[in-house]
Amino acid sequence: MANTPYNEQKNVDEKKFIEILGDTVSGNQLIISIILSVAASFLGYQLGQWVFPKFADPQMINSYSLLTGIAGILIVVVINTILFKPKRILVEDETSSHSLKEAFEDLQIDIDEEIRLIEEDPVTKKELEDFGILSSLQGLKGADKK
Amino acid sequence: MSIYLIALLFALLGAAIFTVIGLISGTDETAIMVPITLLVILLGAPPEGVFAFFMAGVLAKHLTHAVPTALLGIPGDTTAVPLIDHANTLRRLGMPHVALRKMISGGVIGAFIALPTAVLLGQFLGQFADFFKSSSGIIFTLAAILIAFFSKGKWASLLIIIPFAFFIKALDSVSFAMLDKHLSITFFLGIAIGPMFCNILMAASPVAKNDLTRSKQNQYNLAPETKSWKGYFPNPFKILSKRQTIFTSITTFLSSLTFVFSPVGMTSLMGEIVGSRTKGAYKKSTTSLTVMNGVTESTYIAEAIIPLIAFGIPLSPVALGPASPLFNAPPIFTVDPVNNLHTLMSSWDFFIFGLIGISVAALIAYPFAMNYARKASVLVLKYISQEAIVAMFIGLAFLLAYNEAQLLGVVLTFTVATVGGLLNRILGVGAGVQFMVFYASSWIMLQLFGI
Repeated sequence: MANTPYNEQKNVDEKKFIEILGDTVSGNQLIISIILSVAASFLGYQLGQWVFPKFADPQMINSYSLLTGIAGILIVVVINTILFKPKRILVEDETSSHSLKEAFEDLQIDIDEEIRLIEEDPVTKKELEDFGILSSLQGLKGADKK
Repeated sequence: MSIYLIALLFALLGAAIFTVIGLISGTDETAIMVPITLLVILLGAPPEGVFAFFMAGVLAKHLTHAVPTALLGIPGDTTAVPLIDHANTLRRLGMPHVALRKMISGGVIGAFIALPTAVLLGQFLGQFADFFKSSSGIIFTLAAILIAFFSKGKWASLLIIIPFAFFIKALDSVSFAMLDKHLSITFFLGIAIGPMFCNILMAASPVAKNDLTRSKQNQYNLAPETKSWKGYFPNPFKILSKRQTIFTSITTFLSSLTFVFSPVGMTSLMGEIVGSRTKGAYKKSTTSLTVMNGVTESTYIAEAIIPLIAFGIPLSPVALGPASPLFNAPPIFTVDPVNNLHTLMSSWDFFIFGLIGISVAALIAYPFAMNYARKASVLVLKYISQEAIVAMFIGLAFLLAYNEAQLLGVVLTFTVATVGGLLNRILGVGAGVQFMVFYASSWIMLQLFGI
């Protein structure tokens, strides 16, 4: 194929995403974020080790340095959040009566049976009524047979 | 300042931090709880404050991690995995908000049942504490074998117990020779961040990369929300039907007593038992979700509290994972000799400060998740990148390791993370097994080689 070299080129390109802890990230951006974060925690900690001995209780120097380290990390979290946008696609679902019917089919639930079981149980019926869902369910009655 | 006020402040802090963290989906329980709890301990918080912080954090995190589970159909963390099927059924039926409300109402009830139950059981088991403490080496080893067998890696986990103990002991000897003190935070930070670090390593290797590369961004389908009740603070008993409340109460009480099993296992089991007795897709899903989330919560709390009160050594999956800093955070808390919350707090203290913790979390996270679930998840998904989150946790691990043993600590942590993470990701040797072997390693090596 003529375009194979081009495709291979693309594979190492940053167009590809990497999945870390269940979410997609850009490899290069991740490396930069980690370097920034580690550097900030190190600098923050060293700053604490340098500043606090001048006035703080010697026992507390390490604890206070941890705090300056965290401050460094948090600053970098803000910077990273501004620099690197999330690699996610967000789709806002709409539920309609049509998709509800489809959902029942996908889940292999018998609609009439389901409605019967709900109507038999006053607690559940009342609950669905309060949620405003009962009417759209009842609208589907007999939809299986069509 | 009175200790109650201090505990209250720490509980507020824990609830606030973990309410936000819970919204970020897919986060690994141990990797997040361990570094943040360690920080609070090392910063010098009093034991009561640490405990209230931890309890508030656990409950708040579990309440808000129900948000991605219900609304996005992705587990908030590993403990939410068994709930995903039922949550998806309701999501497909256009009722994710119902799923969410049922889940977190069950969770709140579970927490308040588990606390007193666990304190009482812990106190009862306390009479056997001397036996457990004096033979902790062999108990850790037997527990490691048991946990290994029930982990995902099964036989592989069993086979690596001795090599992994050898690995730990070898690193310990080298670092002891250099520093003249035994390190421990560095070790279990390494185990905790192992899976995350392993993913990063794999992404950096052209050979291993393929498993992780995706040609598309992850897509999240966010379900619509219909606001159906008024007021800010909902009553969990009104959200649940009577039947659901009773089932949740019974199952959470029972699961509070079984502190040696994994929360995920108990959750699946109880959900299955209750679900099979319920007819109709809607009722089955809502009832199962309520019960399951309640059980997750109660097992979790009981597993942290019972070994703390009874033994002072971490003898449950949660105590070995997320709650491990409460047992072992040298120089402040140590397991050998036992000098941690077990020795510093009475059973009554555990109850009072635990109650402060879960009450604060319930007051903050519960109405928050009920009212702002959708808005909050849109904000997180749109603006907070995973890069920033992963980088933050690597930064925290670096900081804590550096604080314990400077460069050596950092090298050690990432060495353990590399080995532990690969074992975890590739062979299914879970973090619980690795923690157990870490505690058992001294005894195993003593028996084998006399050192």
